[in-house]
Amino acid sequence: MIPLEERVAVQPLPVAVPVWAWIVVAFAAFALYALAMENGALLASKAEAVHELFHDARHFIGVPCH
Amino acid sequence: MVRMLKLGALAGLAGGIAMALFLFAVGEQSIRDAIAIEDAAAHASGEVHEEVFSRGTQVLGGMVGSIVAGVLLGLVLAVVLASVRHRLHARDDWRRAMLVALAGFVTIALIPALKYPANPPAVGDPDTIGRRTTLYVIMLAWGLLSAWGGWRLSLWLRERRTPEHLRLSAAVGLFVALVGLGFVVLPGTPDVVTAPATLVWRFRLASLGGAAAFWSVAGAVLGTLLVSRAPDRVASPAPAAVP
Repeated sequence: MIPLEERVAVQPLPVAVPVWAWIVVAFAAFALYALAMENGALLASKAEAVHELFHDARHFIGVPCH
Repeated sequence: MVRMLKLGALAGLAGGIAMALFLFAVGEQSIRDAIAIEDAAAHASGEVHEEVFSRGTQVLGGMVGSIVAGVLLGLVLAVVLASVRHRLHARDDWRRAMLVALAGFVTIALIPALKYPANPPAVGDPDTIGRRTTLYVIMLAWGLLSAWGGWRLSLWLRERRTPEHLRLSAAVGLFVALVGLGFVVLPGTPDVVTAPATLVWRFRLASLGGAAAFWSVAGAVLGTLLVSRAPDRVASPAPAAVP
């Protein structure tokens, strides 16, 4: 059991996480999708180039690939 | 928060570099072997397959891709850490960063990999890529949802002052049960693996190793940056409010 003093001392104040920070997360998720999983649903003609360029990373990260 | 994101991007960059080096040192060997099998098969059937990029470009692209993905995941790591850190009981921010990174490894890398493991080139039917991607994303989302469920349960039990051993057991238990349900309900991969088992196994281990390299380095670097450069409220622990 951790002594009460220590526990009170180490609990930090909440950090305000503004909405835009979650928008950054959404953007990151979308960019990861475009980077890793895009097969032509969104980028169409450019998809194959993106796919082939990051091909090794796709396989390595474990995202489905041809 | 801006500072937190910067540190997250920096930590993600470090983790991405670790993953890229791991890919280069460990993963590429299996990829080379797999491509040799692919080429041999194509040669035997008389197919001529024009490559868009040379192997050298692809190796470089793979490393760059790993690093870019690392920075993006680092941003996610930073925002999640910022939103949960005041509720994570740990001795300092280094430990909190490592806990969130561990959660990231388990939910983002390990769980989808257990259901739909990584495959080297030469495995994978181009015709099923859409279906495999959908299944993969569903598993990933389900794992994240399960982790969120376990976390909410833990918070709820903490409010009810449930003893820690019961609270953590229940939260982890719910998480594992939900993930297990996903494993059982979702169909397996539609592809038949014909490549040698040792090659596939080696590649899958390398892939998990790369993910472990990323999350451990990103978590450790973010934690270290938060602990060592803690001049403001964002990073420093709350002033000791000892009664």
